[in-house]
Amino acid sequence: MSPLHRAFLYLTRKRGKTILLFLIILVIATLALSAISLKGAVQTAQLNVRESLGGSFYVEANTKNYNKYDYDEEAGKRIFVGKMPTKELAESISSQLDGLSGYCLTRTWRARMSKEEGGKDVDLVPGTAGPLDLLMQEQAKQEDSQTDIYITLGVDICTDSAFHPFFMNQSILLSQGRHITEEDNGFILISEDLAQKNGLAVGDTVYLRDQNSVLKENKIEQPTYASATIAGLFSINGTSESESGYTSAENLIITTQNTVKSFTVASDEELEKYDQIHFFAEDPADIESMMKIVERRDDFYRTIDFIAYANNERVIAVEGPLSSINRLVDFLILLVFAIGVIILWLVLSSRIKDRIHETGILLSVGLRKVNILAQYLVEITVVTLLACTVAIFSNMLISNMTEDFLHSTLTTTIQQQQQETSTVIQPDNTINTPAAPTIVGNTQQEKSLTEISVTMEPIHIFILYGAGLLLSWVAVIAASVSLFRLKPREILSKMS
Amino acid sequence: MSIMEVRSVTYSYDGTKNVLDDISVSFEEGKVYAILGPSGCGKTTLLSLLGGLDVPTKGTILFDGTDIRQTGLGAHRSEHVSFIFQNYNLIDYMTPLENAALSATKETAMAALKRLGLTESEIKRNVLKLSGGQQQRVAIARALVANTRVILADEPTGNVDDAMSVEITNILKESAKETGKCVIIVTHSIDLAKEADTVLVLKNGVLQKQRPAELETESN
Repeated sequence: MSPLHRAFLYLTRKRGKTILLFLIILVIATLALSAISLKGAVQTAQLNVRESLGGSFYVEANTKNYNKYDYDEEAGKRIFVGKMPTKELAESISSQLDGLSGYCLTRTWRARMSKEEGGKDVDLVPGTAGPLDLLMQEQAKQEDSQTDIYITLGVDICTDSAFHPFFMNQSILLSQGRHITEEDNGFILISEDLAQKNGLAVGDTVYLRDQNSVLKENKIEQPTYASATIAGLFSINGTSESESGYTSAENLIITTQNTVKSFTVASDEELEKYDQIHFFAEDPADIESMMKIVERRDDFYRTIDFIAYANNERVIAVEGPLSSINRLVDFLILLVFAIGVIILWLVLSSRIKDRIHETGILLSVGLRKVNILAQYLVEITVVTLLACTVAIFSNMLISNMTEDFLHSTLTTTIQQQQQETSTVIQPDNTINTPAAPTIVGNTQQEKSLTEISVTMEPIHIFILYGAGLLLSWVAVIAASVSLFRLKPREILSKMS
Repeated sequence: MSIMEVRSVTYSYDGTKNVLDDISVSFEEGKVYAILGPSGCGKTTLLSLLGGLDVPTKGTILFDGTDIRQTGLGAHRSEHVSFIFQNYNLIDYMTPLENAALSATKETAMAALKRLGLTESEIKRNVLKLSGGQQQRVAIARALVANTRVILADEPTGNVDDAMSVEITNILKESAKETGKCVIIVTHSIDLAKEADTVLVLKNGVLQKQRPAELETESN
C-alpha cells in the first residue's frame, strides 16, 4: 500500500483529528495572511504618502545674521549683503548628494502683464477680499499710480518649472502646454483661471513690464516691455487663499531668469542671485541624511552663509501613524509566527508521537522509514494546502475590516495634521516681495493619500503556502526523526 | 533445509547480565518451532533478534547463509520475515482487508482473510469492531500474505480463548505445511508448544532443543 493511499485513509477515517488540525492551521494561516497583507498595505500606503507629498529641502541665504547687513544711506534702510544662492551653489550641492530626483532655483519677482505692448493690464483673478480688492485694483490701474502693486502678478523665476515646489507637491498641475527650463527665453506658465478671465491660451503672446514703484526707485521714466509666449497653463489643485488678487496663486507667472532679464531694470548680476534652491529626493526618507551632508559644508557649518530647511514635515506627520501601524504589524507577524510555530510544533509533534503504535506496526511489516515519513508528510501537506486555501477566503473578510480601520486612521490623521499646520503649502519665503501665494486643501492629494487597499498579492499567498508547508514539514520531520532514531524493538516495546 | 541460523548469539541489556548466552540454533523451512520458557527469560528478545528488530551483543544471525546485518535489518524485515503479535497490532483506521494488504495485493489479502474464515462484511468493517479472535486472524492473514519465508509469532494465542487458541495453532501449522514457511512461535503455553515440530526451551539464557513428546513427559 502506497504512502498516498495510507495518507488518504488516515485523513478520511480519522476525521476528528484531521478537522482539528485543519482548524488550527486555518486560524494560524488566516492570522498570518492578514498580517502579511496588512504589512503590504501599510508599506504601499507609506510609499503613496511619500510619492504624493514628496520630500524636499531647500537652501536659502542666512538672513538672520545681522553682520551681513549694510546701511544704505540713500535708501535709508539696511540692505542684506550676504551671499545668495546661485546656480554654482546648487550644482556644487547636487554633486555631493545621491538619490536626488532634481532641483530648482527660485526667485520671486513681480511684473505687470498686458495683452498688447503699452496696452491695458490684464484683469487679475480677484482675491478673497472681493469688492475691496477690486476697488484697489481699479485705483492701481490709473496711470503713474505708485500703488500699482495691486495689479502686478507674482513672478516665480525658476530654473526648471517641472521642479517648481508647487508642481512637485501637486498643488498645481500642468493642464495644457509644456514645462519650461532655464534655456527658455520669453516663455511663461500662467493659471487656467487667469487665462480664462483674459481670453488667453497656450501660444498667445503677452507683454511684461516692471511696476511703477520699481521704475521710480531706479529713476526710469518709461517701462521696458518684453514679449512672452504662454508655454503652458496650470490648474490649481485645491483652494488658493489670498485676500488680494496680486498675491493669489491664480495670478502667478512661472518663468525663467532670461525672460525677467528682458524687461526688468534690475541688473544681470542681481538676477544671478536666487532666493532658494529646492532639492527633491527620490525617497523622502533620505531627506535627513542629505541635509546632514549639506549642513557639514563649510558655507553652512563654518561661515553660515546658508541655511537648509527640511520640507518633509507633512510626510513625517502623515507617515507617523502609518509607521506606528507598521511597527505594530511587524510585532503581530512576529507574534503570529512565534505562536504559530510553537502551536504547530507541539500539535504535530504530539500527533506523530501518538502514532508510535502505527509506526511500529508499519516498521514490523517491513515498510521503510522513508515510506512511513512520506505518508505523514503527504497528510500534513494536504491539510496545510487546504487550510491555506481556505485562509485566502477568510482573509478577504478580515481585509475589509482592516482596510476600513486604516482608511479612517489616515483620514483622521490628515485632517488633524491640516488643522494643526493650517495645511498651507508654502512656496518661497521671499525676501523682498509681498506675501507669496498659498494653496490649501489639496483635495486630489488627500484622496490619493487615504486610498488604501488591503489586498493579497501573489507574493503574500506564495509566502503563506511556502512558510506553512515548510513549518509543517520541519515539525513532522523533526518529530518523526526522534521517533525513527529508536530501534524498531524499542518502538514496539513502547507500543506495547 | 536450514533457512535461518543463530550462531553464538549473546545479548545483554546492560552489558553485565546476559539474557541470551552464546546461543546457537538453526531453523528449517516448512516446520513449526516453539520457543518456550518462563516470563522474562528472553524469548521475545530472541524473536526480536531473529526479526531484525534488534541486534545481538555478540554473534550473528544468518538468513540463507547471509548475515542479516549485511542484508540490512529493514530489508530483512520487509523481505524475509513477518510478525504476528500477541496484541494483534492492527492499524485502527484501516479495514481488515487494508491491514492485510499492507504488505500484499488486495486480491491476495482478500483470499487469505476468507480462507481464515472472515466474511465479506467483516473484511470491510472497521478492524476494531471485530472480536479478539477475528483480529488475530487478520494479523495472521497479514503475516501469511507477506511474501516472506519466515513467520515470527509472539504469543499469538495469548489473548484468545482455548477454542480460538487451537484454531490459530492449526492455521499456523497448516500454513507451514502448505506454503513451506518456517513458523517460529514464542509462547509459554505448553499446549501450543506441543503442536510444534521442535520445541526450544530457553532457561537462564541457554537454549535446549526438545521434542514435543519429551515436553509431554515433563509436563506430566
